[in-house]
Amino acid sequence: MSDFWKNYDSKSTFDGYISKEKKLRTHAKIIAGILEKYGKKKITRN
Amino acid sequence: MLRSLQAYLKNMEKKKLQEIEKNCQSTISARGINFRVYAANNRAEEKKWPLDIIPRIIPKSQWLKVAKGLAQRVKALNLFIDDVYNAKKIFKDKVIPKELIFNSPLYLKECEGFSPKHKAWSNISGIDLIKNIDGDFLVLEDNLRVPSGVSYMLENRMVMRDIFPELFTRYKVSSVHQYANKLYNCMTECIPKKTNNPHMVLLTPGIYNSAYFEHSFLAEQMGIALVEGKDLFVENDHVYMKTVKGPLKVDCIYRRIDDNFMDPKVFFKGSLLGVPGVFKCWRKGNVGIINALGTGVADDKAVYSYVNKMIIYYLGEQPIIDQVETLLCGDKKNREHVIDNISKYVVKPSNASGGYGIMIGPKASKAEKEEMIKNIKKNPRNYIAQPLEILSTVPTITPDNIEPRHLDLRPFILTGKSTYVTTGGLTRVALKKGSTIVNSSQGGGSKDTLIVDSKN
Repeated sequence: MSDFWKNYDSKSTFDGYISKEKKLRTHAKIIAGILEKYGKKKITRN
Repeated sequence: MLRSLQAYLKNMEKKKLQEIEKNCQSTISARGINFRVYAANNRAEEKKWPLDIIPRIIPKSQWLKVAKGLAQRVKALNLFIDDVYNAKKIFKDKVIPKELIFNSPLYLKECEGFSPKHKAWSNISGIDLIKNIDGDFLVLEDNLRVPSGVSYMLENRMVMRDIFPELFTRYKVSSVHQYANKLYNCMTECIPKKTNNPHMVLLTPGIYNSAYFEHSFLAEQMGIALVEGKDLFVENDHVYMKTVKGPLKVDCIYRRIDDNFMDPKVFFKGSLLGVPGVFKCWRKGNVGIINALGTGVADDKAVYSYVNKMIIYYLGEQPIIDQVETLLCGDKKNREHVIDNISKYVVKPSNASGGYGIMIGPKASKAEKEEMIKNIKKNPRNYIAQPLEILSTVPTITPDNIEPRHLDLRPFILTGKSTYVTTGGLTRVALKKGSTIVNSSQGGGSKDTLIVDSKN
């Protein structure tokens, strides 16, 4: 698990990307790859 | 396959990724994807459709089970509506109290003794699903009158294909684009009398309707005429469309108008949106109307609480998808319990849509709770209460970060002679932190829903 998801807090409910154990769900790895590598600032328009 | 897909995405050029969000916004503008909301002063405001570029992903193996459950649920609901207007067996067997139905404002006595073709009343159903804390889908609501949103499901995919083209050409993401063809086929299946060259129309209330974008989109996709009530007329109990070449007989109408406005001769006399005499044509089997008039009787949050029982009663099967526990305030014991514990419940009007009139107990102010208690006491039949389900989340782009946001899913089910369930549906997301209101009319957004074959 990269630093990218450390600030992503979804413990209170079922999250489609991250499990309670802070692991990326298998099916979510497709898009998570983009998020991890580039981060939010680089995806969104500045 | 997943690993190679991930590698492909990771290796995408940085520049390309930076363009994604920008492309998304410009594609939405170029395609003219919008919706209309009405402000407090009743002025219409047109808004650009809000699409978040981080998609929702559902494994195909999970979706196949959900799709089976949706088909099962809609089949039972159609059998129920037909039973309500005909044999009434379910009341005789005391599975559902008949007062619940016959006191409903959505029950139309004018539909008694009638069945549409294939006994298919709810031809287009939008069933709202949520995921519970264990990741299992639950039904939250049945939308059987004129459910909207499917055009945005299709447009979301078109935009995502524009901005992530290789994602869809190289990998196994289930397609959603069969919908318009399936809807067209559904309409032809609902024509009461066989005809070689059917003429079908989509009847809209007009350009000021909040879903007008969808009406024009679907008519265009199916290649059928988009008409208003004034474009149609009735003669000798047949419906005709006015054209420059003279009257053209209409065989099936996809109406996006509420029951009460469809025929001023039978329902609301002041309606300028409908077609005088169309109800009689429908009852005589001279025209098909989807969804059938009177379908709303099962699109009632009070009736929703009985759908699991309907599935067992009509199909002899256990429900494949469970639903949210619901208390009917019409029942004295429930009512007292809800009033005493109002802070714990989400209270909803039975017959409203669009997220209007909902009170979320844990977040409501004292005044809002008091107002709701007053409303419940005044008209208990009109309210239901559900425990606050913690909706699942998916990462969503916010102004400052990527954060989890709550979401639901509205798949669409078509029923004519056959049944079709969309692959996925419209994912609606609450853009405000902690909010569970996903309706676009109240600030919600949307995501593309990818059904992926994760075995490969």
